[in-house]
Amino acid sequence: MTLDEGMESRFDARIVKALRDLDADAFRSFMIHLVSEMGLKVTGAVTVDEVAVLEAEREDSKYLIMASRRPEHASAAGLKLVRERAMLEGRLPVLMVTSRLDEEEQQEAERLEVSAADRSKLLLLLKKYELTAPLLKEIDRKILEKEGNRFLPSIGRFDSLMQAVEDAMKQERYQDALSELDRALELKPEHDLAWRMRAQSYLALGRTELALEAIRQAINIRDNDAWSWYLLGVILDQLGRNVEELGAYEKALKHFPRMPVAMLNKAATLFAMNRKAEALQVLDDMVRFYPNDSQAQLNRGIVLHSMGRGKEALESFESVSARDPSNVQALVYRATALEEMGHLNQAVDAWKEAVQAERRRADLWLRLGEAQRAAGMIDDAAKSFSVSATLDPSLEGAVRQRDDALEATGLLRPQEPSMSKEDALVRKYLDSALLLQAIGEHDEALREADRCMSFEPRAAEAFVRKASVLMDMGRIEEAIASLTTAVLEGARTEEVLLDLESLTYKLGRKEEALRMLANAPSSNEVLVRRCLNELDLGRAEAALRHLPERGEEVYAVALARALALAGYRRHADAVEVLRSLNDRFPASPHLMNALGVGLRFAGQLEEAERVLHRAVETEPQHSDAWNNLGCVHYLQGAYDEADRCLKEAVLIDRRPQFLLNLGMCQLGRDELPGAESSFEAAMQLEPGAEALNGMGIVAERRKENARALELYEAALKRRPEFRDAQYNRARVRMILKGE
Amino acid sequence: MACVACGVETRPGVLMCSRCLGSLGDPLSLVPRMQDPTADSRLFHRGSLIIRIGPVAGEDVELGRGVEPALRLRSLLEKKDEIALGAFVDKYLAGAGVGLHLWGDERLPKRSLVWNVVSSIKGGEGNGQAWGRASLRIGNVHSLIVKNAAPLPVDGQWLSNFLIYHTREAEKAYVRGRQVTELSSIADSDLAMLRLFSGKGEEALGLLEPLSDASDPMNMPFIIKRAVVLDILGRKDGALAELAKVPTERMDRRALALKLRLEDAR
Repeated sequence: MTLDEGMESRFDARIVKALRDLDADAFRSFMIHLVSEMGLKVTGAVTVDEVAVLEAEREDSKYLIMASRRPEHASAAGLKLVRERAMLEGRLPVLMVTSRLDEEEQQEAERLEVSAADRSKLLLLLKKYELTAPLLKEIDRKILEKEGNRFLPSIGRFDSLMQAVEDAMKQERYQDALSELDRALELKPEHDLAWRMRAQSYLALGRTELALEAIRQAINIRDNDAWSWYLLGVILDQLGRNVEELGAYEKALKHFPRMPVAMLNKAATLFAMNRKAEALQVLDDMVRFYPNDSQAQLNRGIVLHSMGRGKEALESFESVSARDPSNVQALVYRATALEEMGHLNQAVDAWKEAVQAERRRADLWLRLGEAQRAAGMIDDAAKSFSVSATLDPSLEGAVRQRDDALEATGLLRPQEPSMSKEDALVRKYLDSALLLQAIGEHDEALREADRCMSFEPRAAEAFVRKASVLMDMGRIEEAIASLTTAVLEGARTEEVLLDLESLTYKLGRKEEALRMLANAPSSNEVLVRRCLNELDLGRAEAALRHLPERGEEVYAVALARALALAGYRRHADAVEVLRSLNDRFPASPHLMNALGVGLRFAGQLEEAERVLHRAVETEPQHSDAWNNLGCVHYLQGAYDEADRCLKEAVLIDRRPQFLLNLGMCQLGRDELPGAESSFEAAMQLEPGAEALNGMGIVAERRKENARALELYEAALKRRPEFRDAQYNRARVRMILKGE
Repeated sequence: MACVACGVETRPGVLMCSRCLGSLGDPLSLVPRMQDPTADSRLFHRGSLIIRIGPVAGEDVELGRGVEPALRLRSLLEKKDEIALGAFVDKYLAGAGVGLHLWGDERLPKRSLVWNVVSSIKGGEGNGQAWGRASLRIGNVHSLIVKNAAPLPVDGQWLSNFLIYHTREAEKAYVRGRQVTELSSIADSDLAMLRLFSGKGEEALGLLEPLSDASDPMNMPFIIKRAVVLDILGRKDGALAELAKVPTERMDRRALALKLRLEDAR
């Protein structure tokens, strides 16, 4: 190697390193720049796993360019990947990689008709279009940044906005996506992809007319994009405009002749318009082009089924199930078709497969029960109905059918226990599992429970034990599944149901938990749970409705009643209940605190102060009581006392609510630096409208009106209905106008 | 036979050896438990009220989590505040589903604090109503351990020591509860249930006998307890006869279920 060659090689290595060191956004921007320099128009760009995927076009050709710095993409697998993606979108594939492709891989690229630029070709391109200098500048910039010099980025703003849009859409934050899109479209108003994403976001928010407007704009800018036409079809479907919808899919298929989703939707639209033969034709074509597409095969079966061609339909459903055994829709249609054809035993098996695939769907259990009943399997039907009714008591017919079937089988009556040899063995497994669980040997305990089940698959107690061990291990979803099976096998239903409800509630599925309780036998426990769940969902009136007329009450019912009354703003009634609870459990700071709050809202400030004072005396670590005492002092105008109490609450437990209260109190004392720091601390813990509004008030008092306006607007962006922030914003706007 | 945990040889019918049982931390893990049996977790975590100083974007009163019971127990033990400690134990165990009356079918929460509370009270801490109630509840927890541990196929020596310890703790607690006049009958009836769980059914019936005067409506829970004892002893007719003394309006869910079951079995 000559000196020149050596220098050239080091220079190349430096360029490649610079490319690899770019962050994902900067790399994508750089590749857009390169591709634009090559004379292509870039119409879309995303980053997937650090790989830049660009859509570009020149004259009549459309390209999908995958630019990757990952060594594994410089391979036959990388070539196949880009080819598949490009094919799906009807584009020509291009692969750009920063590693070398060997001779065999280059031949593979030719064979697959992929245009490939590996390390050496890429370097040639960069030099040809004089892009090495900016890259090296980037290295210098990083050095400067490391040294602490501030660097103002001026390029790639649009791309970073679009990235933010993608991120927001992925996380289903469509309102945020729309805000970012507004800014992106200010920079590039003619960017059709941005308009398309805007349409998607509006559609997701259910604002269909605005979605329609946006997608039409995208099509006006570029009328040969199949995806825009497809989205237009989807939007028109929402508006029930089938004829135009069909036209949109046809346009999409004109630009991308075998676009799978457009074909599927076209068939669905034709089917909805009762043009079944045409729908079948489209689906037949699709199955021919895409023999592995389960949805196409399934839809074909549905169309055939509706045309009365049961046997062919069944073949379609079976072909989907053979390829994808967990496809529940296929299983459901298959079971239904078998039922209709009178193959009852096969239908039962098919429903069992469906239930196996989705064990928590009450409707599937109900259908299984119906099929079993039709096939004369009354005991099994009763159990299936029981599971269905437990999973969703509101499901029409579930409870009635269960009761009818249970009555028919006599299962409603408890069986007399008898201790056969088999029972003794079951007992041994269960005892072993219990003992192992008790000494913390959870894996072994699970194994014992499993052994019990394999010996006696219907041992309901084994499923309950297994669920208990799984709960100890924090495997909640599995515990739920095990309890559900326990119900199916006839475990003590009420207790198991209550545990199922607890776990469902623990997972945050509160509405589902409420449905479970709705059909449970009425007891104090069920009533309290229903009341507390409603309160959690912010429905105080409904919470109160669940409780019985007041009489002699256990602790939990009385406390739940008091909380519901307070939530429903019947503070005088809440005070009455809390007074009687305080008599029963004197010296409870928890109850004193609740009584103090009730008294404050009933307007009895002095007594509230006394009771809350006793609460913090009894339990000096009761941060809620300190906070509440502070609030009562604040109302009494004793700001110094209020400030002291609220600071105590914050000291014990730095909760945003306490900090916000402290901030308001400090505002009352005109202590602006203190208030500002409280609101900022609350904001750091939990960004919210109230903290922003508080910071706005501080700014306004300091005559920083422009900043105040920004803060009020930020508060309203989070909570548009926040009255105080609305007034504050209007006032500051007036002031700023006057200025 | 071999120990299911370590595999060491054991006597016929013994599933676990004394060495492995030595690692049993919380004896309540032998008692049937539930996830949140009295919605107690919910009440602890969402049962405290917090006032907000306006203007606020939402409600001016919110549900909060209150004081962690574990922290409160520790601070009360450190302060040696007997009155507050008694009140705390009484209320905490009531919230966890441990009643003043013991029945045997109670389900306790899956929370280690229940045992921490019970085991941290050594006895003789205080007097008065709250301590009387707290003592009965503590006794009931020990009795439930006896009931559920007694039939377990484990090392005999270990089991014997274990049962003796919890029986004594329960008895001591009932004696303390008995010192409060209003609670003395309940304490005796709970002791009767403990005797039943220790295999002394006749003694249990003897203890309940003086409490079972049906002319006093306050005695109905004791009559129901007699029925429960008779049922477990296999004297179904006697159990039904006891229940016949209880007016329907005074029957709770437990008594009604027992009555239905006994009638069905006839």
